[in-house]
Amino acid sequence: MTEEAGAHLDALRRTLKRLVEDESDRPAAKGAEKRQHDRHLYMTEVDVRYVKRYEQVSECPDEFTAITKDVSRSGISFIHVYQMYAGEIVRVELTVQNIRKHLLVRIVRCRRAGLKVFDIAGVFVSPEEAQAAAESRQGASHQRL
Amino acid sequence: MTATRTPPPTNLRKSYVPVPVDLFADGSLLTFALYARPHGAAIGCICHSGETLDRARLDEMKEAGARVFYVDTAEHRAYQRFAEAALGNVVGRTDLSTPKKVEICYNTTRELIREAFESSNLEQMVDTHRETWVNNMVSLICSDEAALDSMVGMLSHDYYTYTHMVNVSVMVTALAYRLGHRDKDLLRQMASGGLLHDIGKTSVCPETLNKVGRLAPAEWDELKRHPDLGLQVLHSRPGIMPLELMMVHQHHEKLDGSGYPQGLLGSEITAEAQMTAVVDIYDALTSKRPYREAMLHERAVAILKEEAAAKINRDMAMAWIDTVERIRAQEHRHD
Repeated sequence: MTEEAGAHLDALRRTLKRLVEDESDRPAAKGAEKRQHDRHLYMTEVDVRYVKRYEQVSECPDEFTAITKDVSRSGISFIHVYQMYAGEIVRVELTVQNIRKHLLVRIVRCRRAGLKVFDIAGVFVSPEEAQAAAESRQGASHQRL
Repeated sequence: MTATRTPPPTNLRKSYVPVPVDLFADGSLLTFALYARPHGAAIGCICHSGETLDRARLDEMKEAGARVFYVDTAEHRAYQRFAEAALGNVVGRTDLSTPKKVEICYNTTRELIREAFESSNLEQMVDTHRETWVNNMVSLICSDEAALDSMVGMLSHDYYTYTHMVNVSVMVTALAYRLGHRDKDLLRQMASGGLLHDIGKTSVCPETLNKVGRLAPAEWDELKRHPDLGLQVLHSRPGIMPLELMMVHQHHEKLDGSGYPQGLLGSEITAEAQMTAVVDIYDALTSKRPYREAMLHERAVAILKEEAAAKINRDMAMAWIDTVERIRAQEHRHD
């Protein structure tokens, strides 16, 4: 890991600690922020790789390490130093009980959580949905808006 | 700042759509029948489908007091195709003054965008109407600086999203010009970004968009998704530049981080999106909305100045206020 990446992760860990402390005092969210299923605190480093990315505007590297914040049956949230955009799709790789798992996640929200940290949330999607979204990049000029 | 438009006689509304006389030029080949009602006489066909309209006929109708022509609603699609093509030639016409060209471009584009918006034909809006509008506007500005003032001065202030989108396109281009931008490509992109800035609202349910009362938290959340939805719709469209995408995605961000969707800070928000934010607020305030009457210019200026303390770019806000006040002063002098 490079020195810069290590510094990023340290910053992320500090922000995550503060976010978790803040959120534990906050009432449950309403509206679109309200998740279908209970969230469980789940803080671990994960490898993230783009499946569908908004090339024109994204400054995010193709692969990066993020730190998860919480997880539910329907989605996951993590924090990261770059902006992401709602609608992008990533593959999140994590280890659970020594087993590597891959989850496909469609980003639904990205919000600043500190000076150089973004709080990013997504929902799990099927491989078929992720595949269709990735292919739509090539066929974009013909797709119906 | 109101567009003048003569409503059709009530007994004609069921069958005919009024269309601007000046859109028709000598030699216009029509694919629909064109009607007129000179001197308040009975409506009559002045040119059949497949025929060419000549100058003598046009002059005769104008002299007879026809301020609008009419098209049968059943042939409105054919008229729209004609209008789209005719708009492409408006700027080069020598028989029209600049304010008249501006009026035709603005009103006809607004009408075409309304049709596309209401029929959810966003492809037509993004691929066809946008290009014609942007090319016309930048050509008009670059050939005659007064065109910009004419455009800003004639904007309609109803509460429809499509009117707001065309207005913001005009205003943000005017502001960019006022701030010294002269590069045609940049002005085109700004006009385009302004036109598209609220395209995400086409995915918001109309009941929420037009609700008269206070929005419930879930409705507010839905409305606040429109910058994200706009980016999702446009990000991979050919011909849409990053600058335009950022105008769509960031126009509700605030310099102090209190905006949405991402809560960006200061220079993280592109300059073009900051300009869009200024004129977006001004047009929203001075337009009639389902939940309130249009605000007076003076009150809107006071709010813009409050916002300029921390939330929007102060220099841009002051430049916009100065632009509008100069145009208003010119209008008063002409009155």
